[in-house]
Parts: sequence; structure tokens; C-alpha cells
Amino acid sequence: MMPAVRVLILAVALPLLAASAAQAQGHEPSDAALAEARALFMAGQAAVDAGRWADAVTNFSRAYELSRVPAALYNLGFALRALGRHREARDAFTRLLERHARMDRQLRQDSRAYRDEEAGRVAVIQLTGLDPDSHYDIRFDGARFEDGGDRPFRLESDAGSHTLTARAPGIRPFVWEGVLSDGQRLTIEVALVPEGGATPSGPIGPGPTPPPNDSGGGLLSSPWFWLGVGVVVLGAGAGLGYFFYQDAQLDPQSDRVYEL
Amino acid sequence: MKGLAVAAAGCLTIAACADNAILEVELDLPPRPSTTPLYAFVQARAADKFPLPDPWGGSDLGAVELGDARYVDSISLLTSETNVDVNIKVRFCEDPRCTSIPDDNAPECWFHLEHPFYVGKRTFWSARVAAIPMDGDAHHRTEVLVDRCQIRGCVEGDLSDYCRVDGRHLCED
Repeated sequence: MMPAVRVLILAVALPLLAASAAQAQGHEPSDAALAEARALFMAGQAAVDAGRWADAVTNFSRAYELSRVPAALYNLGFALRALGRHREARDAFTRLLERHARMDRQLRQDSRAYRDEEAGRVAVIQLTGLDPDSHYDIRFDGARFEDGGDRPFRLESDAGSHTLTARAPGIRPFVWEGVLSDGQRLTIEVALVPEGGATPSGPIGPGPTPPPNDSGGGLLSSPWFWLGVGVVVLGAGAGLGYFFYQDAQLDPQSDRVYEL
Repeated sequence: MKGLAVAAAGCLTIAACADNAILEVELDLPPRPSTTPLYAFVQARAADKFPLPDPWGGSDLGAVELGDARYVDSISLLTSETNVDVNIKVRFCEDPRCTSIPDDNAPECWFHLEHPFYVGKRTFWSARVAAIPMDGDAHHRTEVLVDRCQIRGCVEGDLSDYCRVDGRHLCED
């Protein structure tokens, strides 16, 4: 399906770019900057047409930096949206609405709708269990998040696989790895364990290797023994498979259920 | 032995994936217009096999008797075939099974839902039947087409539509 969005991009962008000098707010780009912005804008359009959304983001972002033309920021929001970078897309539309209050009414209306839509797709993680009097080194996918002391600590993210770590002096590093979906609200209880605190009483894993049992060698070399093991393993697998299959199916929420 | 373990693990992996799909339907039904008993008889079918204008055979859910106030009828539709459109009829009948003679011309609301199912996903759709179609409506019927992007699911909150910019639904992988 041809996205309606692309039509909108093409329809609104060029006229607005042409009127850039008049529309730019608090910024008077030079002719050279405008020319470069125009070229970047067109390159962004071409990238959109080719489905190269990441390139489109780069082009529109730079075009906006140079020109402060709302159409470039609008397209940047769309490209970020297409890439599933909902947090940045929301921020782009928010910035557009804040900085360009006099833009076209329809564009403003659409921007507001997309900003709200993207805001609904941003996932939020809330960390509980953090000491309010301590400051933690919190990293999300390797990027550091400033711990300003607000509790519970909150951060926003896009959907996907992520890793979060929380560190503080004297505390064992806390690590969370998981998958977030669009718009998910997730609370993570951070387990704070002092370094050198209680540890498991013994090593986890197999115990000492027992000495070889010479008397069992005959049994292990018997094909009947392995046939029996095979039957047991497959039977157990089938049983567990059935259990997991039943368990994995979605359950209806209503008492009134109809199967098509 | 290693082969057996791999086979068993494979079975478990496959088994742990849901292969059904559910559409949770909410129909906000109007009150009965008079003291005469009236029932809302809801039918749902795969659209490719059951066109809306045809009478539909087969088993259905029991009808809901309308009262003096509006009533929300919640229905879970299940399927394992997700690449289907769904037709829904709400018939307002004097008989709970819509088998009385006047029910041949019972007022009906028709809905055609475009691609509402996704494997392993729960989707949602709701409709408000403001009033029972009466004289003046063509054949006492109303028909509504529901775009796939209006099928809710796979994201929290209410959105203006549930499709990505490339046209794929949010429930599509």
C-alpha cells in the first residue's frame, strides 16, 4: 500500500521550503545554507522513495538545522516514525509544534495527531528499589542516563531488545535484559545486593565427577538401553510439547466465544 | 542422543508459540424501542465464504435480550486462519434465534472488518449501534466497512490508526 504519508510529504514540503526565509523563526539562513538545505531535502525525498529511511533521517535533520524550515522537521518526524524511533519522532513533532506556531493549519493538525500517536508508542521503564539518597550509574543500551535522584527512576525507550545496568559503589551491578513492545509500561524492581554480601553456600553446577562405573559399561553399550532412552525422551518431549502448546494459545477474554 | 535432544527441543520451541488469534469484539447495543421483547442476534463469519447479503447457516452464539438501557455485548472471536476478513451481522429479532416469520425482515447492522486477525496476537474492535435501523433505512439495514488500520491492538493507548507508515499493521511482524 502506498502510504498516504509520502504523498503528504511531497505535497507540503516544496512550497514550504520555497518560502523558507519567511517561515524560519528566529533564524535567518544564508543563501548558501538554504541551497544546501534544499539539496539535502531533495536527497531526503529520494531516500524516502527508495525506502532508505535512515538516510532520510540524516538528510532531513541536516536540512532542518540549516534552514529551520518546518517541512524538514515534519519529514524528519515521519522518517523517525517509519524507523520505529517513536521517542525521537514524538520529540520532532513536539518541537515542530512548539517552534512553528504559525505553520499551515492542516500541517499543524496532522503534526499534533502524529505527535500523540507516537507518544502512545513510546515504552516507559520505571525502576523501583533504588535508594533515594544514592546516585547510580544507570546505563541503557550502553548510554548513560543521569540519575537526578527522582524515585522511581523513569526512562523512555523504543520497542526492541534492550539492556539496562545500574551501578553504585559497594553494590553489585544490577543487569536487566529484555524485550519491550510499543507503548509498554514496565516496572523493574532493582535488586540491590552489597558486594561481598551473602553468597550461595556452595558452587552452583555439577558436583565432583564420580569415578567411572565399570559395571555399567555393558548396559550403556546396549542398543536396547538407548532405544529405551530414546522412547522416553521423545515421549516426554511430546507430552511437554502438548502442554506448552496448550499453554501458549491465547485465551479469550469473554465468556461468549465464537470460533470462525 | 544429541539428535533426540535437538528434536525434542525443536518440538518444544514450536509448541511454545501460539498459532491462534483472537479478536475481542464489543458491541454497544441500543435499548429496545418498546416493551415488546427484542433480541440482538450476533453472527460472525469469514467474509470470503459468507457474503453479507446471503443468509448464513451454521451454529451461532445465543442472542442477547435487549432491555431498557444500552448493553455492551462482549464476544471473543477465535481463528487460526489469520489472513481473513470478517463479516458480522447484528440482527434485531423478535425470536431469540431469529426464526419467527416477522424476523425474515428483521432490522440488521452489517460490519465488514478488514484483516482483523494476527497469529499470536489479541486485537480489539468495538462498535456502537446508536439505534435499531428502522423504516427509512434501506431494507432496514446499515453497513459499515472497518479498515484494517482501525483494528486496535499490539500497542497501549488509543491511536488515530494502528498502521505503520509503510501500511503494515502494528500487529504485523
